[in-house]
Amino acid sequence: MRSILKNTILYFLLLGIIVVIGIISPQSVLPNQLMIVIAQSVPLILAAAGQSIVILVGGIDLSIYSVIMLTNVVSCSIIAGNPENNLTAIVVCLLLGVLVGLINGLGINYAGIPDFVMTLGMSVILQGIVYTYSKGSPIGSIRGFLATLSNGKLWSIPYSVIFVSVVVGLLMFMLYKTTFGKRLYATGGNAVASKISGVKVKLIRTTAYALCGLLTAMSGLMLSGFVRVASLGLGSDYVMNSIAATILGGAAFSGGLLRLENTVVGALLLGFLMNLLTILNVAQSGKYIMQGIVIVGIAYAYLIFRRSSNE
Amino acid sequence: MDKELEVIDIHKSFGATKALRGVNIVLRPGEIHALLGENGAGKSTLVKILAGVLKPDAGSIVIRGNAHDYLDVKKSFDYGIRTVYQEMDLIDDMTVIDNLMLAKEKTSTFGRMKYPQMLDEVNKMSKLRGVELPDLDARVSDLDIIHKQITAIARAVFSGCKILILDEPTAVLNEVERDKLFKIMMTLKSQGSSIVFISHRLEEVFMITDVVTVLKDGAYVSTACTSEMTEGKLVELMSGRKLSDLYPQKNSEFGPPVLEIEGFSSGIAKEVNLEIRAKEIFGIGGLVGQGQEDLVKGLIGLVDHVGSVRKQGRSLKIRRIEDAFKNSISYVSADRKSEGLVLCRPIYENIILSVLGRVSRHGVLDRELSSAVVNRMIRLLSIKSGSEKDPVSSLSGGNQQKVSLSKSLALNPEILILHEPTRGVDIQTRFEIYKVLRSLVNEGMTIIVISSEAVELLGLCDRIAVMYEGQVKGVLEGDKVTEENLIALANDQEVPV
Amino acid sequence: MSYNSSFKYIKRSLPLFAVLVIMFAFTGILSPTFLKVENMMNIMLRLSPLLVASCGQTFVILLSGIDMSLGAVVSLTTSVIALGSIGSISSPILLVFLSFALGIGFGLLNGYFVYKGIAPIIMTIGTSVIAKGIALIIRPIPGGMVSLELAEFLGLEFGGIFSVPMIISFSFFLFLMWILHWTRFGRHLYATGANRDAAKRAGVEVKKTIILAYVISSISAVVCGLLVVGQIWSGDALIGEVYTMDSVTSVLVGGTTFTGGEGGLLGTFAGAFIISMLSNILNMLNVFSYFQYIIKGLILIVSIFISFRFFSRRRKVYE
Repeated sequence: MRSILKNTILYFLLLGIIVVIGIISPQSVLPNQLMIVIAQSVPLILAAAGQSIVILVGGIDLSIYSVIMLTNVVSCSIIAGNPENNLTAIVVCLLLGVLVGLINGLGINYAGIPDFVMTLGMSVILQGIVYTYSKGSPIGSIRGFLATLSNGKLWSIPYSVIFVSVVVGLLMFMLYKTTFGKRLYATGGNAVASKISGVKVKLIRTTAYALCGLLTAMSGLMLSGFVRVASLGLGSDYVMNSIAATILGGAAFSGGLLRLENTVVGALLLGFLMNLLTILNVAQSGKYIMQGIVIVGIAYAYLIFRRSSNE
Repeated sequence: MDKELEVIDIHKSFGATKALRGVNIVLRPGEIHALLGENGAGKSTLVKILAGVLKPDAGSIVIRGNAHDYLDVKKSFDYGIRTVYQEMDLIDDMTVIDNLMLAKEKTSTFGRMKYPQMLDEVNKMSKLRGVELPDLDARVSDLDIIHKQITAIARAVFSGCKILILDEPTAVLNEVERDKLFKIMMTLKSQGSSIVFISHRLEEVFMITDVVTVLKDGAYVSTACTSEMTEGKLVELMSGRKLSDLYPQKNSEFGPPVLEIEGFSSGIAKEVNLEIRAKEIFGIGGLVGQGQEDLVKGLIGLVDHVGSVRKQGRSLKIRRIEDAFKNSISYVSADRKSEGLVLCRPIYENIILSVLGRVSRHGVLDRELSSAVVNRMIRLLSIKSGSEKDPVSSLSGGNQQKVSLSKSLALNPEILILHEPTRGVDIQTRFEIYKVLRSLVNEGMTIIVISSEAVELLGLCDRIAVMYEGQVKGVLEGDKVTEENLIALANDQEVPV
Repeated sequence: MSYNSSFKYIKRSLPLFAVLVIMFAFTGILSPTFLKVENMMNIMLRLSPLLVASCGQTFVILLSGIDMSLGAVVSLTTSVIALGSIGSISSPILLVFLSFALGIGFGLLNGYFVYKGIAPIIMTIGTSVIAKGIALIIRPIPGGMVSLELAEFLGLEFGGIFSVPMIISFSFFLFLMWILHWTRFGRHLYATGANRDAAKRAGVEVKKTIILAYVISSISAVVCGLLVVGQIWSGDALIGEVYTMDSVTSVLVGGTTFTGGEGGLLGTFAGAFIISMLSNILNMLNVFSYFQYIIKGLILIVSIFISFRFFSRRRKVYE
């Protein structure tokens, strides 16, 4: 009974927020408008998916912001307004994302560097690279495939929503139905026991980080397609929000427990919450405070849930 | 006579497991009271309740006339209850004196510590209680086990201890060291403290205790003066069966050697030579920490080793655990909670964890294949659970152990290595597990068992190798498999002919 | 620590000071202006706030935790102090008190929930965002008016080589050293960080220890903020962010390990010194400013790698 409550409370919260939005500003809940908010949440959903996979194996990735920044600057400068360069840009950025994730994973699992140090350091290094490369004012713009993907619609459903649904669907299949997924869960739940049971723990965790890098790069590409230019502050809240979405989705921070679909709902929850606050004319500072309260509140709530069900 | 401590009708459950049901104990001042019971009888749970670490679900605790529903750490401490656990509970990274004075530091106004006074006090105390302390500035992690034990006991004893609870203190001590411990206990007794003494070695109970209480499966069985008890009676009270009923019939016919170990060194284990035959249950005994674990972990590749290992004549190179699996050798760890199971995951996931490759096609899990494996295991071991999708944490200790076992059995190994196979497991489950082990062996498996419980080794194993300080001191076989011989070899003495 | 193990700890920190000396010498040879008094004062100025912040962070990392809200509290402090011109809240003493009150409040929050079981990184990320939000409300854009007397005091230099920031930071450091190595709380902190359960069973009041550690961290953030005000003479809701990462770097470079229970303030001092010298050195050597980011990140990672490989006694069990 309690576990059913635990899983559905998130959906009710989401519904609740949408209802509140509807009451305050009825135009905002027209299907069109709802779709817009959902489409705006897509990059966060992708980043949160990556983050939750890393959290699943008991780690954390603080370099998400810098990967998004990197992707943004690189894609803009490769495409440089020329639609033909889209493919190159996409391939390069995805590879960069995987590379960063791989380096994170190797540093954490094979060199023994703790996850927050490695990813934090990586973040700083990447930012330095980006700043140096762009000398503070990045150039280029995006036109063509990426822009269409992020902004276009297919029979009034945004391409980005379709895309993210496919990606999340694939991820869920991977997590719940494949041996790789089972190994991810086991590693996160108890790395020592997994190792003794024959799971290649280091390899699994490194792959998780690489996967996160890939998803973060996708997120960065989506964001870049959305804004179409290079902007150095892009994605600065994504580290915190991806962690928040994962926690909201009920994942255990220590690993081993994750329902990806709940993380998605968590990301949507944050998206609609921000929407609500914007409608209420709350300034950015108020939004920050709200986010902080939500993170702490939900983390505590799940903690209580877990405690009481374990007694 | 007045009562120092009384425990009345204590109940405690953990989820599905009923650890204690209606336990009553009376402890008097200056009394050394033995608390006996098999694995899973509830002794540790009771100790934790007295220490204030756990709250009972029902019942009361009366200390010197004051009744309580439960104790917390502070209250327990204030009443003078001190516990020395088997894991000794010291802060490994700190020094001996740090550990001794932890939470009892002498301080001035702002909490500034007065080192000279502390040193003084410690030295005074040790003379008073007859305890020889190890070097005060040594890091606990650098000490050997007897000195860790002394530090742990000193810490308990130095701080106003009225009731000392010793949980299996002698498991790691040899005879000489144990006698030192007994001397300390007698000194404490003469000073009026009461001692609760837990041990699996019945002969020790007769050496030093005044009263003995037996628990079985969480229930209180009886209390009596030690002088009125015999070993046989105690065994019957603890297990509810005659010894001969608990363990299945041993084999008399064995196969050819299936595992030959020569010049094998791993961790503490040095130059071990062993030959293990098919269809036998081979035990490795001795005091705790004499190299048994290192030997076995070296065999399966978890620990670096040198030496030769041959299986059915073929030389094995095992560098990682996957190599052991490939050679059909599998291992069940002693500590199922931290090394054996992924507690938060479902039962079926744990069972198939080592054989994921075999229950899948092209990386995708095959429901039929995995169900087949899971159901077979559940049937074989009679695992009792709601559904296989329940998390392992929801199971009782005994059933958890069965899941841990099935994970290793799912590999269909030719050689199965078990480390403390029935730790924290109730009697009924132990009986079931022993039966399964014997039947597996009759079908051709070879089983190696490490256990610190002599009775278990004696009852279960066909042959027993006894280790001391990393070396195999002897292998007992046939009618030489007796408790005296086991103890003798474990203490590096000659086996009486 | 009894007398002997104090010496062992100092010995372990020596390599760091050696590194410091080498850095001094190396840069001094390459660029003589580096060793001039004026530059040294510059370095001291940079070092002071970071030293204070790093000391607080040390306490938390010793518990195997982290305080990601440190930077936000620094910013919040500058924003509060910059209220110095608004109507009746013009008494600088009042504003300083307010800053401390806020800081202690955040510390209590952090400590309590971390004790209850929320992972430190999440909890402190949460509070950091709340603090950032509050700071932005008070001070949406950098500026404001700081009481002149306060600002002057906080930045005062005298006697050619001394300065108030230096004195404040060094005294703070010494005070925290005393707390860590000479009081019962310090012992309990080490014990809780090394093995929380064993400490609890030994009678240590783990709850108080954890909460106090996070409060100390937030207080150090407030003091750091005050020193920053002495340098920028205004409030800025985002200026403190760099202190979060830099303080963690200083602590980890200084040899305190993230597994808890090992390390101390002496190493943190050296670490903070190295980090603050870094920017100065790189400027002297004309290194492109954003490149410094890269260097800092690399130093963080490499130093952790070294400290882990060679100094830490505890490793992840599945290694």
